[in-house]
Amino acid sequence: MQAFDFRFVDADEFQLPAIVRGPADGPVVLLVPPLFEEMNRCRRLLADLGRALAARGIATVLPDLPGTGDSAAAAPVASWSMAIGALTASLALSRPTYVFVVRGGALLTGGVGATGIYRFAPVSSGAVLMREMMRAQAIADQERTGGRVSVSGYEAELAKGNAGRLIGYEVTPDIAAELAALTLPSATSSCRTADLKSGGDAVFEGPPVWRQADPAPTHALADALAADIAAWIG
Amino acid sequence: MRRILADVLALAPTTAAGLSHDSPLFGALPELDSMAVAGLLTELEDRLGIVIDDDEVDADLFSTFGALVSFAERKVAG
Repeated sequence: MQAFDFRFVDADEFQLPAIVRGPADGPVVLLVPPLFEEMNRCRRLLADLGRALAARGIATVLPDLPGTGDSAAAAPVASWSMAIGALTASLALSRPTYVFVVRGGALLTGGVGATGIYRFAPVSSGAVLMREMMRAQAIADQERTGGRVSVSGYEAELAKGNAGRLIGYEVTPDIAAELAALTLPSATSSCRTADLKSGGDAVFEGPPVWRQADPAPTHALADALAADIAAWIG
Repeated sequence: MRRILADVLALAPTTAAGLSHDSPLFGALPELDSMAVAGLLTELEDRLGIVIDDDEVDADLFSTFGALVSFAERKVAG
C-alpha cells in the first residue's frame, strides 16, 4: 500500500481538503469528483484510480468540492467550477497538469489551464442529472408513502421558490437553476473521452458504480483506466 | 432487457439469467435502489430510443421483470 498525503490545497479563496498521491514532480492528474450522491458512489473508483496511477509514476490530487465531504462552506454550483479552475491553474504553474472528470464532474471544467482533459462517462447536462435525481426521489417517495408522487411536484415546489430534498441533498431553487443551466463545456485542451458504452475514444468493461447502491469493486476498471490515461499522457 | 439490467446494475450473470416474467425486482434485488431505478430509466431511453414521461415514472414499473419488459415493449411500439 503506497502512502498518500491528506492536506489542504489552495484554490482561490477556497482551501480544499485533498488526497494527494504519487511523485512530487512530473505530470499530475486532478481527479474531479462527480456531483451529489454519485460522488459517494464513485469515491472508491477515484481512490483506486489514484493508486493505479501512482503505481505508474503519475501523481494525482483528489479534492473535495467546496461544501462537500470534509470541505467547509456552502456549495453554490458556481463555486465548484471556480475551485476546479483555480486548482488546475495553480497545479499547472509547477508541473504538466491533466484533468480527469467523471459523470457530473465533467460539467465543471472543459480543461481550461490544463494540458489535457480526460472524460469518463460524462453527463451531457446538469438538467439530465437533476432529472435523474428527481426521478430517484419520486421512486423513493412512492415506496415510502405508497402514494403517487410525480416528478413535476418537485419542479412545481422549486418554481414556487421552495427548497426541497433530492436523494438526501438540500436543493434550493438557486442550486436547481444553476444545475439546470450546466452543459458539457467544450474541451479547451487535448481531450479523450471514455465510457462503459461505445461512442467515445475508448470503451471499458466495468461496473457503473455511480448507479450502484453498493458499488462493486473497481480495481480492474481503475487499472484499465490508469493504463489508458498513462498512455494518453505519454 | 436482461442485458440492460445486467449492465446497469452489474448483476451477477446467474442472477440476470435467472430472471423470469414473475421475478420481483424493486424491493427484491438489493442492487436496485431508487437511484438505480432512475439510472435504469435513463439507460432505457438511451438504448431503446424512447422517451419516458415523468408521470409514467412509477415504482410499479419495476415490480417484476415481466412488468418492466411489457412497459418497454409498449413504449417501443409507440
